[in-house]
Amino acid sequence: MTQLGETVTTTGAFVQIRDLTVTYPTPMGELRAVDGVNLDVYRGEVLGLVGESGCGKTTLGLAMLRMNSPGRVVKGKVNVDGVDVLSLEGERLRRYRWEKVAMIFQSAMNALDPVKTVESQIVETIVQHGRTNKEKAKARVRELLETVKIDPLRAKSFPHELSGGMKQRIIIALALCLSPELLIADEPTTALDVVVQASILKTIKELQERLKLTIILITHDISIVGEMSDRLAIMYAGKVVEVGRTIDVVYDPQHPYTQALIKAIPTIGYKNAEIKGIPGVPPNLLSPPSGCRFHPRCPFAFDRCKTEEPPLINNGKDHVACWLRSA
Amino acid sequence: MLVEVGMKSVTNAAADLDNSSFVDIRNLRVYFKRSYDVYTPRQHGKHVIKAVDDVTIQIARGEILSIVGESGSGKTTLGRTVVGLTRPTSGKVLLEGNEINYEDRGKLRELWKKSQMIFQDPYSTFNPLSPIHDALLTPLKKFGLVRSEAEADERIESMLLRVGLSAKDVENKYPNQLSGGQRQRISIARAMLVQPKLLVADEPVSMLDVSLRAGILELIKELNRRDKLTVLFITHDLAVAQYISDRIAVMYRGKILELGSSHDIIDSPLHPYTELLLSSVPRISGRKSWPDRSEISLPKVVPNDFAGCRYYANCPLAVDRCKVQEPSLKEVYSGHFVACFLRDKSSEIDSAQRPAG
Amino acid sequence: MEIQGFLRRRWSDFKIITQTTTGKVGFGITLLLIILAVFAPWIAPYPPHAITGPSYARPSWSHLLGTDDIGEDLFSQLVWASRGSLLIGISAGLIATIIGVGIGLVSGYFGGKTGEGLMRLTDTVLVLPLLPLLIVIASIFPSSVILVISVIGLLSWPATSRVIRSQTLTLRSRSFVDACKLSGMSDTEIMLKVLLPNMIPLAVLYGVFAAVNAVVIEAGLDFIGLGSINNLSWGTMLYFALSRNALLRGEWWWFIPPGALIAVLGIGFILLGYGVERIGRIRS
Repeated sequence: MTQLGETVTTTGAFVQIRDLTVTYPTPMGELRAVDGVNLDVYRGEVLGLVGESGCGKTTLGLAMLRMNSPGRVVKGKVNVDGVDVLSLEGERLRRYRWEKVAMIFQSAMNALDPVKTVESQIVETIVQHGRTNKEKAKARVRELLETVKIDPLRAKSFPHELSGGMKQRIIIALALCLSPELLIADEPTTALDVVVQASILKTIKELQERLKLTIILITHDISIVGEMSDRLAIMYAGKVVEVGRTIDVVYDPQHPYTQALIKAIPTIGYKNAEIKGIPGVPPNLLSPPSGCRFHPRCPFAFDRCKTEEPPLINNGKDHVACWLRSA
Repeated sequence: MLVEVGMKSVTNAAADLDNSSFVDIRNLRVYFKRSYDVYTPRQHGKHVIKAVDDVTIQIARGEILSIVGESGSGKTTLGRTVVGLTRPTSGKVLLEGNEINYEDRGKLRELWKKSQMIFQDPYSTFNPLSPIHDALLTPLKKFGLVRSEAEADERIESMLLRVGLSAKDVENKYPNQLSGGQRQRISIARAMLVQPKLLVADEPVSMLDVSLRAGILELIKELNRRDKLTVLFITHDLAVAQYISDRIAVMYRGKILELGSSHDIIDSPLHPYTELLLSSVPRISGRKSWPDRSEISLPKVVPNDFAGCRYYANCPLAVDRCKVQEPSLKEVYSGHFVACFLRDKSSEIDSAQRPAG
Repeated sequence: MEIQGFLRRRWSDFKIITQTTTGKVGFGITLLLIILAVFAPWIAPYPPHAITGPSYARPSWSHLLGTDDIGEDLFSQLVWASRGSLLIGISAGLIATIIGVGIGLVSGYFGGKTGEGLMRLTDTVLVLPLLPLLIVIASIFPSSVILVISVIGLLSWPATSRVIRSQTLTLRSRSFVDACKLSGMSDTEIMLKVLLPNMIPLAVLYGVFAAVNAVVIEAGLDFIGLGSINNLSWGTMLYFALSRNALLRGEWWWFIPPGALIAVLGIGFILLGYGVERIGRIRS
């Protein structure tokens, strides 16, 4: 059984995160939003990063772009395509951000500049990176709008003239404008109606196939990643508790939290299937429980769970951090 | 467009449906003037938002009816009107045969002893300056339901227990000291303290973490089972609607397009919009097929004086008739209604007719 | 039990105000000025209008700020004048706040025709020019402090009412107002017991602006000789300084302190206002 904490070059993954810890300053002390996370993302795949509010998934996503401020990375390594992201500075960091890795932030559609047209916002981003002149940038904008299925005539529209779904497509276009290889999408469809959501997800899927993107899809909705992602990583209280192929994780979840999460949502077509919530509340990250963080809410917890924290281990099916599944 | 809803016993074995309509909504219209003040309904005008446009539906005693729709469908406005918080522009709502009088605050107070509502956002449902105990004491005092402080305390404590909370833990706390799940439970407690017969639940779980939703849904189901609470459940989430309700009504731009048991709606939908909704729901096991119309991100706005079907502009099956005439809800199968010329088995439409350009 | 909780809340409010430097400074200055005004008889060495020294005396240990043209001690006048200025500021501020909050609340809560009508009224009052109007009124009617305070108060409320109305609309869209209705509360109860307490910090902030504005306007009125000379305020001191030639004589110890204290009052009040507004932001 190998542990996922091997040295950087062995796994050959596109993104390698090792022992990453990110903390936030709070009036009551340093809060560890991400605590000792190991994760690999392979080139060309869609990795779903799932967890409930406060589990650290957004922090993890931001860390890949070094955008955690006011939080900071206190430990660990983030390697993207062989580049040590945490040691990038100045110009190299600027080049890295948006040209190598881009992000769709939560509620980004509300952050569009209301007084600038769609076109000018995208052009501005392109030109600021010093890649091309304005003319070529405008042509690129038209190309991008078509890619995200927006009528190019809409380039001169202002954000308030667009619907929620359209704004989100603009955000996707903005993220892709410098042709990044990795796209991190944080809750790209929350706050959108279900029909619009489906069309945005479909577009993202098509883009991924066409542009050979690697995508990390961050969400709390496990049913979205169930159909969008190749592999799935489940986070709880700042830690990754299970990672594996989506089919495996969804149909044969190993970690009790994953099992509980799947049993908590109603599924269309299975009316009489019972759903169950998870008793208790997520732990306070300023003073997390000892041992396994999930043990206070876990129906299978035993002694070892309360004292020793289980490492993320490959148990043959996928990677799980649970004493039930190791040894 | 008066429609008689045939009362039939639905597949939910636990529900014992009464044969009288408990809530009777008749030709309800709620229009808003398009100005910065959206809370005062107006009639006829150039810039009118027809939030609820001629809706007629009945809710049976003891049933859970879900109104499913996207934003702009009017479902929240419908819920608010049923519970007396929003005044209708025309039409009426009857509770247990008595018409709701929206003008008389005293009569509305009487209504609120029987009919309550819980809201979507557990974070803004409470006065941040009042401790929980006070928030729960208010309805008991205002409706004259208790005779002493002690009796009030007792009822509050037992109600909190009923919703799964310990009074000691939450009573003296302020809302911002509690989690979303706890606040929503207290919200339900507050509504249930007056022992209402009808509960309107407006998206009660959409703002909660996934692991907390089941608890709230179970609580509502139990209240329905044990106390025969009639529930009008408003949601955009079809999976939740299917899980909790006996019947589902699908709303779009102020109109009900389809109505039936949750089994019928989910397994054999009739309206093209319902089909679209169903195919858009994400499935953890992967969906069967993606909705094939990506132009749906640009819903075309229908002008107010449009005479045809509300769904015409976005409907893949629309024919000429749909542009000029509005279909009414017709019962196609027992208890299953749809408002669509192409699906209501009206003999005039030939399914081989060419769709309109 | 209720009083205990109330006091505890006020203590935590105080702590919130004084957490920031802004709040500390504002609270400190305001407190000092209030102490100055309340304890004027003990702080001032002489009665303000008693002739206790030679005319136009320079500052000395017996007369810290020298004397005016007839020998009254200027330092004592300065201390006693704090009462006059604070009276004007606080009263006018209070009038403006009460009217503004009342109109803002009703307009925001009920909306519709009432709301819009009240807003038209607000807009009308808003455009009335305060100082010119005061000048006209003061030149027609016999000078009186009450008149000046009333006019200022009656013309300064629009800013408050607009902000309060906006806040009311925001709060009303939150479901707790609906929940209160469903709990059986009447509209009046909801406005006074639920909405108002949530808006006090904001009301205080704008009230403070009105108060400071009042003090400055009144000083201006005094300076041009139209104010009420009977009410000893820093503004009237400035008037006397001007008319008794303190400026000509270069006697800065006469005309700088009153002006400086008006500025200090303004700063103190406004910083305190910001501190109080913080309570609102933190609590909700």
